[in-house]
Amino acid sequence: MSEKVGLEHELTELIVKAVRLEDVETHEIDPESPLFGEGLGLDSIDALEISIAIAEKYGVQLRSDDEEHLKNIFTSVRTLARHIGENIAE
Amino acid sequence: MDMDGESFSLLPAYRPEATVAWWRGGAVPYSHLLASIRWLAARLPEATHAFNLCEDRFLFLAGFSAVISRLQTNLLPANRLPREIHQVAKRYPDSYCLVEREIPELDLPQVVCQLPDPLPTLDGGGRDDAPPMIPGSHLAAVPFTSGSTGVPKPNPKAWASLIKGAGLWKARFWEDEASELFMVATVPPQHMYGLETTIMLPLAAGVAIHGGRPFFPRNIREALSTLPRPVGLITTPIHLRACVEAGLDWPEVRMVVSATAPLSAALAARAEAAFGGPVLEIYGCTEGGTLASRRTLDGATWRLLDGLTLHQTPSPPQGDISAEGLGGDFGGDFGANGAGGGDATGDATGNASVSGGHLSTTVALQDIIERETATTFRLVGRGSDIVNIAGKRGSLADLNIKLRQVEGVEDGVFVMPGDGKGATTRLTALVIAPGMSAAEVMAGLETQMDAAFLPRPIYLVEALPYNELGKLPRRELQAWIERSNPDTP
Repeated sequence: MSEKVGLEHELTELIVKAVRLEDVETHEIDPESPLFGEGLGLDSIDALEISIAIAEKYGVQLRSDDEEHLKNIFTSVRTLARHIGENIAE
Repeated sequence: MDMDGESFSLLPAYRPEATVAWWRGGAVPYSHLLASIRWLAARLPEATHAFNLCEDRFLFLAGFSAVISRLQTNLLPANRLPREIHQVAKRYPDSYCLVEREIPELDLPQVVCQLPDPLPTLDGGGRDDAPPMIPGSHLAAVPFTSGSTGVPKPNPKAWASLIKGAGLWKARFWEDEASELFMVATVPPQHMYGLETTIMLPLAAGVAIHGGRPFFPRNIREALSTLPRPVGLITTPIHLRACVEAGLDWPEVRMVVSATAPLSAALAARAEAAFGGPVLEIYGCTEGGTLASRRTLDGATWRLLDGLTLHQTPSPPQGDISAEGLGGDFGGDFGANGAGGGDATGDATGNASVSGGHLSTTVALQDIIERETATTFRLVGRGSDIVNIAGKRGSLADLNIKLRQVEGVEDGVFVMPGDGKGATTRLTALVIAPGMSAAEVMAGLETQMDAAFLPRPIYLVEALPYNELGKLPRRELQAWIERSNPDTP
C-alpha cells in the first residue's frame, strides 16, 4: 500500500463518513486503489454524496464534463485529492 | 383508449424552425432532428428490437426516433450491466444495441449512434417535409423493471399511449403556455420518468431539452444558465439536496420536477427558495408513467392527471411476498414511514388502481392510498416489496433471491433501514455465510445487481430472526440492526 500524503488522510475519512462505509477502516484504504467498481464499490450516487461533503469542507464544487471525466476524478483517493488541491489553489 | 388503426406523427410537435434541443453548444431546430433521424434510420440494421443504451440525451432522442421510424422497438434496460442485458436479449433474439461507443463486454451486435458535425439538414429547411406517420399501436418502447423473480420485467409502451401521456403531462405542468420551455434533466432517458419528461415532451409536446446529462450541482447550474429562459429542472431528491447544499447561486427556474423517491417538505422549501419556482412532485410508475402530481408544499393531496380515474378495491390480498410489485416506483412522499417503510414480509399489496387517460389497461398501485375523490388521493403507506434508490427500482424479493444465489451464502435478507432520513438511504443485508468475509459476499453480489442496491454494510450473522410463520418480520430485522450498530440514529 502506498503512503497517504497531504489531503489524502482527511479525504479518506470524509469518504468513509459520507457514504457510511461502516465495515471499512480508513487505514485499509489504499490511496491508489479504485473507488468505483471492484475497489471500494462506490457508484455515482456516492459520488454525489461525497461531492456534498467536499463542498462543505473545502468549498470546492466538483464538476464533470461527461461520465469519463467523472470516472477520472473518482479513480482513487489520490486523483480526487489532486483534483481538490488544484481547485482550492485556484 | 381507442387506438384502432389510428396513426400518429413521429414528431407530433414538429415545427421546422422551433427549437427541440440544446446540443453541441447551440439550439437544434426540429428540422435538424428530423434530418438526423433519417440519417440514423438509414444506417440501422433490419431487426425487430434495439437496446437503446445512449447516455447523451440528444443521441438517445435521435436514436429512439430512428428506431421507431423503422417500426422497430426500443428496449430500455434498467441498468447497463452486460449480464442483465444478455439475460433480456435471450427473449429478443432479433435485436441489436445502439451505443455511443462500442462496449467490449457486450456480446451482442452493436451499432454506434453518432451524428455528423454539423448535423444533417433537410432541403429547404423542412418546410415541405413532414415527419413519417407511425401506427398508434406500434410498440415504441419497452422499459424494464426488476421483477420479483430475478428476471427483468418488460413494460411495453404503444406509440399512441406515449404521445397521449406527453399531452396530459403538458396540460398539467405547462398549460396555456405559448412560450418555449427548456428542460435540464439529471435522470436517464431509459427510465420511464426520464423517457416521458425528456424524450416524449420534445417529440410530442414542444418542450425543448438540454442534450447532456449534468451530474454535479455545478454542471446543473451551468446547464440551467446556458439555456434560453424559461427553464425547468427534471430531477430527483438526491440531486436536489446536493444542489441546495452546494451553496451556489441559482438562476431562476420556472419549475422543478422531482420523482423517484420521497421528497421532504423541508427540502422542497429549500429548493423553492434556491430556484425561485415551485417544486412539483410526480407520482407514477413504469407500468403507467406519470399518474398524479402535487406541489410538495401545498400538502399531502395528489391530483391525478386529467382523464385518469381512481378505483379503490375493497380488500387487499394478503401476505404474498412473490406478488409482482406494481406502481409507486417513482412515487412520492408517504409520510412518517420514510423510505421503503412497511413490512419486509410483504403484507401490503395494491388496493387501488388507476385507469383512463393515456393508459391502455388499468394500473394497480403498489402503495396504500386513501381516496379523497375520484381524482385525488393521499399516500398512506408504501408497498412493502419495492425499494427505490436514486431512481433504480428493485424488488426486495428479487434481491433476496440474488443474495441467496451467491456461492457460499446459506441464507440472507436485504433490509431497508427505517431511519428514512433522506433519499440516499442504502439497503443493508443480514447474511449467513460461514467462512466468508463481507467483502467476498459483496464481490459475489456486484456482478448480479445494480450498485445502487449493494448493501451498506453487510452484517454477517449466525441466524436470522424467523418467526413462527417462517417469515422475517421487518421490526425484528430493524431491531437487530439497531442493536449491532449503535451509531445509527
